[in-house]
Amino acid sequence: MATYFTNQFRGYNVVLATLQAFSKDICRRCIGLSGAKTKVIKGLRKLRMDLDKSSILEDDKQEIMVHIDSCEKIASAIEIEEECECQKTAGNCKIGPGCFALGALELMREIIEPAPKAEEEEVIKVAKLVCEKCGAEEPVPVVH
Amino acid sequence: MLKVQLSSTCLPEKGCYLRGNDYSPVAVVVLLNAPYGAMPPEVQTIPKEIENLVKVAIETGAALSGTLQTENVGIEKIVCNIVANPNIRYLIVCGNEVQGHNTGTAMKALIENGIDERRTIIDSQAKTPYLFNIPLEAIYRFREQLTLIDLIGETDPEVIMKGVWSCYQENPTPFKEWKLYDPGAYSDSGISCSLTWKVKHPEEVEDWEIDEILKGIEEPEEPAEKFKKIGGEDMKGGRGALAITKRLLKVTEELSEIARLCIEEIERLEIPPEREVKKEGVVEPEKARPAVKPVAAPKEEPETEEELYFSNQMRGYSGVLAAFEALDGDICHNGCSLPAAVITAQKRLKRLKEDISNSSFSDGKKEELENRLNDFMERLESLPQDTSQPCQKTVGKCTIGAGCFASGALKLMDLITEPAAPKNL
Repeated sequence: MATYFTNQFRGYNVVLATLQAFSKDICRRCIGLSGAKTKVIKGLRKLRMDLDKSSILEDDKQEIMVHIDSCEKIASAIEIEEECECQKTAGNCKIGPGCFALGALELMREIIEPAPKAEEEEVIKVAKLVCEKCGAEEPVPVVH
Repeated sequence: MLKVQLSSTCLPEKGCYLRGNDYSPVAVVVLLNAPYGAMPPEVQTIPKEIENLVKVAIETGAALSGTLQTENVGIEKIVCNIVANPNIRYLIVCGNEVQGHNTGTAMKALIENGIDERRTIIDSQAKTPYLFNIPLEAIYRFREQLTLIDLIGETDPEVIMKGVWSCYQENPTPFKEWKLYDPGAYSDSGISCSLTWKVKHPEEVEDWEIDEILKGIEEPEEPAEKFKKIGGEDMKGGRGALAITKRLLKVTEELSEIARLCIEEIERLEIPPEREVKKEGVVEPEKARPAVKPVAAPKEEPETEEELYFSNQMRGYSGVLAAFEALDGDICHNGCSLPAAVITAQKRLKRLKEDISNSSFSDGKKEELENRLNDFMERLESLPQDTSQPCQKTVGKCTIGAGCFASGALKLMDLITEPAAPKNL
């Protein structure tokens, strides 16, 4: 299960580096970058919440949490101007319909495995029900 | 028939609406199925036919008539403005459904089903039908006070006129499937509330965030309850005291606004004439100051297609290289995909360098671009280039599936589709 979280923060790590590079460009004034930053911050928050709820070993959890903390700091530090507008609309970005900031965010789509937490939560739920039947309290999903 | 007199400033929320006869029992919402120009009051892009429906409703005798686009803040503003006027007993919702927002059905669902404990409109088809910025009391009142006249999809001004007219008849008047008449004002006084703006962008809220948001918007203790505790006396079931308290709050806010305007005016009079002239050009000095330090002056705008082509390539590679460097700190350092991507990027940059030397730029410009390219090349040199290393998927370290961050990063360059490479290159 820790693999899911590890892959996620690996992905965010590269996304954040790319966004930081674009923040030195005209993207700094762009709603595309602003939106990508928000999405990353939210995604990391969600990852933290999922990690809290997960049943992975406490040590692993702490280790992943450190990475998430670090990513969150980097994400918050991405500098964006207070008043942003789409730089295509403003006539400054002329790369075509594509958007570098959103493209960077798309790097997260390279992660295909393992399937996200929805399945894991389902497993936990089932295991918990089974455990409740036999009265056993298991910290990790177990099928009796 | 009971009617309530309203003050001229009783509508708490600004928006794209017209105010008509305060004693009228009907408000009209025209769904704005059109792109936004800017936020109110600067909206410039309302289609004529929608604007016409709004005007027609007011001219026929509606208390309020305006447009609605969003299923969250838009509805919240309408709730605030309607509960402030207890004379309004009908809400006509007309116009074509707002594509993407499904605001009409959200409004219908709000009146029919209300909201759940997560402040989400029950059974709404809208994507983000969250009402985080208004008190629950206002939502309950809105539902109690109003009858919905569902004319979603109706754009005929004649029908809207007939609907509005029917609402203020003294005797039950058939209109479509309803029998409409003016029942008089709602039995309780109006509620004065405005948006708290605790959630400024509800459209960005994701489902899993709601519980956390709700913790931050717990309903405050009702002032009426405080009065009860202090005086030991129930003032008109609490609601009267609440209304008075809210009105007092509003008066206080208005007084402070007047005081602020007075101070500004006095200060303006004290400014020497030369400075005053300078100030005229500035609309809102406080807002004009950016919170983030301004970016260095924008780079020189590329003038030709050729310049633009190279400028875009540079922009793209700066992102690609940053991604590579991040991956170099990861397991990709020992893999084969990152070196392969690095080598590809090097080849492309070499080609780009040749293109620059073959371009029609001035020597100075060529040198400037080549310097930037050299910088990129140096950065690439410091990245791994040994493709004989094992694929990290094969050795079981990369578990992201079939995707690859390194080749994905290189694909950022594919986002550049304009302009095409100059023909002379």
